[in-house]
Amino acid sequence: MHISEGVLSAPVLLTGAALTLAGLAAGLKAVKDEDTPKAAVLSAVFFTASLIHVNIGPSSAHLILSGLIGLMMGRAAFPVIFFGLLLQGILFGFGGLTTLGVNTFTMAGPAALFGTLLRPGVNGRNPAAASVSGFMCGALPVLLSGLLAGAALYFSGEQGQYVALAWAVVAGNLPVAVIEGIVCMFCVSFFRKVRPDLLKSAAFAPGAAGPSPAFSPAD
Amino acid sequence: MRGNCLARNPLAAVPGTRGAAPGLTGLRAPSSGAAGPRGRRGDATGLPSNAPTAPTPGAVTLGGPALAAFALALCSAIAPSAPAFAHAVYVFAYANGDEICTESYFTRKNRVVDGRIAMQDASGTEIGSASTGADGNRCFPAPPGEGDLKFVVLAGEGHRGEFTLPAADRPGAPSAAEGGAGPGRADPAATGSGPSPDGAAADGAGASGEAASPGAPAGVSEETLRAVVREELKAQISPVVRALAEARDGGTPGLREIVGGLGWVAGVCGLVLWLKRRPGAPGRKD
Repeated sequence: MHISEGVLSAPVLLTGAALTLAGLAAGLKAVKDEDTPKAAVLSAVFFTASLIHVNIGPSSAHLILSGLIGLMMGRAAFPVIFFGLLLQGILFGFGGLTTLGVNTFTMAGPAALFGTLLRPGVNGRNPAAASVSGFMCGALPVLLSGLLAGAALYFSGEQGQYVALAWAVVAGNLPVAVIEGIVCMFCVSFFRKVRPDLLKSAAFAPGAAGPSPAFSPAD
Repeated sequence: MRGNCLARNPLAAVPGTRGAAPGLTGLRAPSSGAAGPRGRRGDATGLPSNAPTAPTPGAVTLGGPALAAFALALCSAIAPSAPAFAHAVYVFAYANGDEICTESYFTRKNRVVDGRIAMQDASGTEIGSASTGADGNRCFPAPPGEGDLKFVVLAGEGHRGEFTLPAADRPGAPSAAEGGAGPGRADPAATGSGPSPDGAAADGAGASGEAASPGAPAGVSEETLRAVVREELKAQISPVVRALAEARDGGTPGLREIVGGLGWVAGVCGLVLWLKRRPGAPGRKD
């Protein structure tokens, strides 16, 4: 998911940077003062989660936990993930500075989208529905992130048909998506019991959520 | 290029046992001078590295000016001097006899399976490529010519890593055989005939003289002896060269990077909270 430097073309890099800029502007506005420590902790979680590797075929996937971040932070997933990626790029050499924009949008966009959409389900009364929502909230962002990364590679001239490439990415990320879904599901059921406020008090100001204009204002 | 010492000094150390010390100090140099090949790598990427800093000015509008400003400062502080960064997929190459062997991996245990590794010459022209195979290891026959060799591994899904093998580290590089002017490498003619009575000259030349003289009566020419010792030492030292090549290129994240990153997160969080602190906030009087 961390696209390395020297792979993408300039238009793709600029597009990713522009989208991330918009996401950051929206996300930073959404972080309230009292949410700052939570954002920092989630940034730290994101930063370290990438070290948990899962061996899949020729590639090597790792946990992202973007869905959980999206669920807890909404749009503010952008600054959280941006900062985590920045540190990963500098300290670990994951991704890189030129691809920071693309990588941030690839991971934070789906996280914010699904976190926003599935939030009501996670906070609903029905525990089973909440678990299902939690699972989806963990799994779906990974798949969509994979598709976005595949698109970025495709528009940069990676060989092959987009459909085939996309399928390869989805298939490659499926095991990670399932693992992420399970992790997110357990987190949701844990938070519902122990700290339900963590799933509710996040930065969800009314208005269009970053990349998901479909999100309608609540009040 | 710092890599030169890597190839030259160990072999220059052959003639005399005392030469081993300069050889070892020479080996240490590459790890401290990692900026060389990486700096070029950064320049080679299509876009100036300040591109991702662009988001931050727009973000200053509201909410997290401190974070944005700090991120901007961080980026601008690091980007210009940034020797580009290693990538999540790593590759390194070393000379092994007449071959150049490469190893590609994500983590130490996690090899690049069936990725594609390409060998490029100094001008960037691809002169060979192959699959990395099942264990991520792939050896190329040494190509003719001179100059640095670059190895690029593509491991799918945008994973890309590269490694530059300096010209002096290529198999059979002239610097390894003849070009070395290391401390122990005295002129063979001088050591053969020279009695080296002067104490000042005895340091390097005397040592190699000792090594060569006992061999010569047994009917082995000095050149053959040199070649044999060179081969032997090369075999002995190649694991060290390999390990250094791996260390020089960063390698996988360690505890230091992890703890350091967490420290950054905590520090920036504290900074943001501090700067956002309102004078009138409850419990806070300024």
